[in-house]
Amino acid sequence: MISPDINLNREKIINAFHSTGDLVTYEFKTNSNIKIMAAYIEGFIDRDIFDNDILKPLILSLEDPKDIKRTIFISKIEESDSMEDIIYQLPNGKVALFIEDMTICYMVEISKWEKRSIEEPGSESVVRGPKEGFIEDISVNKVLIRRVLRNNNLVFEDYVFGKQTKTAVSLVYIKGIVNENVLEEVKKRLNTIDIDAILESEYIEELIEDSPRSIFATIGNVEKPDIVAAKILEGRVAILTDGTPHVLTIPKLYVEGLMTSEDYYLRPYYASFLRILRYTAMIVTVYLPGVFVALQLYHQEMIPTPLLISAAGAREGVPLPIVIEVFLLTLALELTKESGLRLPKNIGNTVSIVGALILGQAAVQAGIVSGLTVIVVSAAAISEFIIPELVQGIVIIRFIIILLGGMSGLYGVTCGFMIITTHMVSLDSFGIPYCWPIAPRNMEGLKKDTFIRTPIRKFIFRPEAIAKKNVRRQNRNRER
Amino acid sequence: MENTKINKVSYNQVLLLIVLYRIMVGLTYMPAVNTTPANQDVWIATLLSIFYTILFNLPIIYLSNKFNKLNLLEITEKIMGKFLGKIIGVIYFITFLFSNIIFVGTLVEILNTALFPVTPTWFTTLIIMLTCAYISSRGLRNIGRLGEIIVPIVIFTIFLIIILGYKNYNIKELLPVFSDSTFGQINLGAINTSMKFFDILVLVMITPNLENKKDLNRIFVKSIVYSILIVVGCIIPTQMTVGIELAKHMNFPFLTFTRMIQIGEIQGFDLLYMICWIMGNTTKISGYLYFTTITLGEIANKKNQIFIIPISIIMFVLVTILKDSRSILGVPQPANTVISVVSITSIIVIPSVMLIVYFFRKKRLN
Amino acid sequence: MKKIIFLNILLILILFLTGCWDSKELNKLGISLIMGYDVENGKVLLTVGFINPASTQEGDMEGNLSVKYAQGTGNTILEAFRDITLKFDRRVFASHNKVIIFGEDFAKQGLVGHIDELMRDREQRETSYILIAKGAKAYDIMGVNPGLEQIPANYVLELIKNTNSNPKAMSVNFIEYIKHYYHNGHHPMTGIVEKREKEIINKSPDIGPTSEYELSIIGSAVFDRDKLVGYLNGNDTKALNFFLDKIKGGVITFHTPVSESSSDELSSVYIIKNKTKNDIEILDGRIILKTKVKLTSSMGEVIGNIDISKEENIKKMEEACSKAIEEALEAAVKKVQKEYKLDIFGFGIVFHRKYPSQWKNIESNWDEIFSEAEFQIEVDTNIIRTGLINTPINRIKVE
Repeated sequence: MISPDINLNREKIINAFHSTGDLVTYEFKTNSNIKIMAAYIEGFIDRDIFDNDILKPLILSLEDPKDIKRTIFISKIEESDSMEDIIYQLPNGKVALFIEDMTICYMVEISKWEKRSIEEPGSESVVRGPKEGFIEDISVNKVLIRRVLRNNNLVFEDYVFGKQTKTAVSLVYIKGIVNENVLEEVKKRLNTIDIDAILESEYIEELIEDSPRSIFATIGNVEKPDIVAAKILEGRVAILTDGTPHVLTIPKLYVEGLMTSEDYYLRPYYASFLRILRYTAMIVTVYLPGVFVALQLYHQEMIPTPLLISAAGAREGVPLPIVIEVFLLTLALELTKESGLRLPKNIGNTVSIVGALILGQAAVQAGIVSGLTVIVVSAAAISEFIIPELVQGIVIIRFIIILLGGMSGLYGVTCGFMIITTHMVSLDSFGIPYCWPIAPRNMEGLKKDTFIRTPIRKFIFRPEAIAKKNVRRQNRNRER
Repeated sequence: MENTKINKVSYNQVLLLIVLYRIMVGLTYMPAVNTTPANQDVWIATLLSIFYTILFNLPIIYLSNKFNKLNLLEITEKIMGKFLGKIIGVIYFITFLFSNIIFVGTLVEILNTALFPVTPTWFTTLIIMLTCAYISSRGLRNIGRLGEIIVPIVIFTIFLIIILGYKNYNIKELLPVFSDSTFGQINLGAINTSMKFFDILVLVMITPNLENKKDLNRIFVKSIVYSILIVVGCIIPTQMTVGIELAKHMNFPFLTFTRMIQIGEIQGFDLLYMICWIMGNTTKISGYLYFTTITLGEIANKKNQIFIIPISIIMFVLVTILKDSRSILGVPQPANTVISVVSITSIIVIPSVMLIVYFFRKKRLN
Repeated sequence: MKKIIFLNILLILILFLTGCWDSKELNKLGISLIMGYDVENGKVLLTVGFINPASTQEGDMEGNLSVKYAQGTGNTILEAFRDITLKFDRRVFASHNKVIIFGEDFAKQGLVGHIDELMRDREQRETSYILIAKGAKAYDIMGVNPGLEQIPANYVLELIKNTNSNPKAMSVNFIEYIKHYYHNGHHPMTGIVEKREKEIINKSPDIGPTSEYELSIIGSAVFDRDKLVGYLNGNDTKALNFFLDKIKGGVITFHTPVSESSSDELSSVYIIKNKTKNDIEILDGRIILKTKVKLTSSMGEVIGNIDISKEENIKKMEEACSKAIEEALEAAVKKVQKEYKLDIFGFGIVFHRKYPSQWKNIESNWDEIFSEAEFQIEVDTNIIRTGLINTPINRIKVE
């Protein structure tokens, strides 16, 4: 209810915002003596436009209060007659114009605030391929996606979550390609969200995922528009969240963690080589330290004799049991990694070098750890960095495997492998099996785009598990 | 009923599971080298057993085809009536439980012999039972998916081992073919081998969960043929490497075969085999555990999930007691006799009786 | 909540159990590479050579120092093993054992009856090589290391591997030995090892008398089932290896077929490939052992006045070589037939394969039949290369 009295309105707004310091209410008179009050939040609007395209024409040429749309040169003006609505809209960068004797308020959108420029995301840098990444602003992100998919079927469905934060969230998909079951399920679960704040897309992820207690994430997140485009082209749904460059993609398959966008921008042979390398690295990084412990403690007959002799020589005089040694060293490695990550970049590098090189060297020379252990643990660490998407699961499983290896050798490691595998195959991501196409098996997927990446010419169909309609990507007219 | 809705399994998954279940016995203690001809001709007997296995299992497969929406126990109840059905159900429950105890016992025995001689039995048993209880609690769907990952690994490893061992092969060990044994002996051996196809029970229990019921017969024949081919593929290299007579002395002939492999300085391929063998056995034991609980659930009219932990505990206790009293493989009697009796009863006798009853009551049932 | 408590208990359990039971830290193991078994005063005397891993680190390169020996006695092998535990500080770890040496006395009382433990124990590898210490105790042999290998066991092992290029010795591992033990038509054979005096070439004063002995594995041991009955010399062992089709390399020396004089000039070829086929034929009750050798070789040395660039001369060379092999093989068979009366060539197995029904009747006295049997040896040599030169260097080449 907007009263014709400007001062009353002004008091209402100021009260609603509890006299906050950044709320500006500016009262002025036009040449034709109409009293107008503008209300906006400081720093949220473009002052140039406000002065030149709103204030100036209003003051100079507004004759009739109802002619306001003819007077000011702004493309987005809404009329509103509800105070709640105005209070709701103001923090979104709108200017409310109250005009004397009118019970309608004009909301002019000229929002502008400082944004980070579009740069290459640190976690997904590529040699070949688009370098731009998402930023924190959702409207820019939408544009970035739309620029890849200039297509009338690309749909953004907007939501607002968070009772306090009022975060804008947008569901992205391509009508006609998207898996409708997944879309329905996502919408259903999004509608159950009831939380006071959404600060990062992880909040949404954890609120809607299938198995929140699993060690594996069943929702993917990406930072680059080309990857999002590729994923929604396979029938997936993406969720943009305002305030974070991380976009969620649903459903997620396990094998996605072992793929990068660059796989598709490089020659197939090299890309396939990288794929296989990544699969190997995954096994190495999870199981190598555990298997190393198991071999050293229980299965010495498996080690080739010369290696065994030098390993035994290296162990001479090392005071710690091998399990503790490997465990502590792995822990130290995680410490170095974490401290290097949190510090400013140039100091971070120093910390890594000090930690890895000097400490490691000193520890070996002092005879606290054996050289072989250092080699094994760092091999596991190097392999970890090649698959950044899965790191969160890997680190924890690695510790468990080390303990199992120390407890009952390869028997324990194998049982651990069985349990982890069972857990993985039992996961579902919005109705899609997490381990597809390995289990349940899909030969088309396995042959073309799992362990190897076949030439793009061979990608005739979208992934069978995800895309249900419009599954054909290309017509086979150029087949050779 | 609810169980069959969630737990759909595909043709591929069931085939892999049944093949794995079958070859695990051959890999473990290779009973073939000691069955009747017990000389270089056992592979003929084993191949011949394909025919006998199909023959002996016809009644149970016929019934399963007739009632492909029902599992074994439901079929029994339908044909034999509520009371008799329950009694037969108990027999099948005991069969599953018993065979599973034998599997766990064998696994524990090998582990404690070949890897952990000082570790107490209860600890080895505890680990395997924990793992299997977890796996079977995830349901048939996930056991099937697990099989799709594990079985190719197991089979690939076996092939790798067989290829790596080529240096030790002495083809002359297998000569002369078919002269030290008579046709009768070979048939006897084949029949003996085919009697112990426990895994047909699993197949029949899975039938209602199959995505496409028509696959049943394909799976039945293919699984028998494939598994026998793989087992023969293991028997021949073992006999060629270890020697006919020595293989009979071995508790675990294939393990000895893998121990012989040496490439340059690298030895200890037995460990590689042990790993894939543990994987295979875990899959098998958890499958059997699952079906043990399913049978019990069917008898008690309850969900199978609640039985997994009690049954695991019972198995844990029984296996520990059994293993702490006597070696199963080193001293095979009386376990062998019991296995034979149980398998003949559950696979051949009861289904045949059921088939006869079915023909008598055909009209009323339809 | 329950789950979390359960998991924590499990984790603590795991931590406590870590390092229990079967775990063995590497620095608590005594890695043995060689073992010797002897009989002394009716008891088993076991000698184990341990590697001292500490000595392999940090430039400690003083040969024998890196190995230490321990001995244990007992009524059985296992007892002897356990006897060591109270004399040596580290647990015997036999999984990497490469060579097993049996003293002559031990072998004479019968191997298979006494070494059940070596098959039953999971740590013992079936792939270990077996050697019989000819005329000596096993522990006499074990410490000798005149070679460049740091560890004496590796020295012996390398010698055994060298049989690939000189078939005058046998490399038989455990499982092969036991396999043959079971078949009545083939007595097992093993390699031997002998300690010999060695001339000290290096006369510089600071070299001590450490290497006055060397080992030789030329020859082989003949077993009657599992009892050692005698030895074959190097040449007979080579012939035996021909019969067993175990020739992988080596040299054949023969008289150069020079037309004018049957001189004592010798030439030799080295073996590239060999294939032996044993066969048996029964001709009106008589048993004939047939052996066909097909040898592919390359000219090693030619001494004498012969132009081997000519086709007919190469033929002559081939024939001469074949004849030399035939003679050697014949001599070996005759010697074995006369001296030992044991079928060590495996003709019994061939008989079993060819005449399975008759085999059952004669199985028990096959050795007698073998020692009476006739034999035919056929050798076909093929010289496929002549080395870097064609005609011998002492001869002027005329076209």
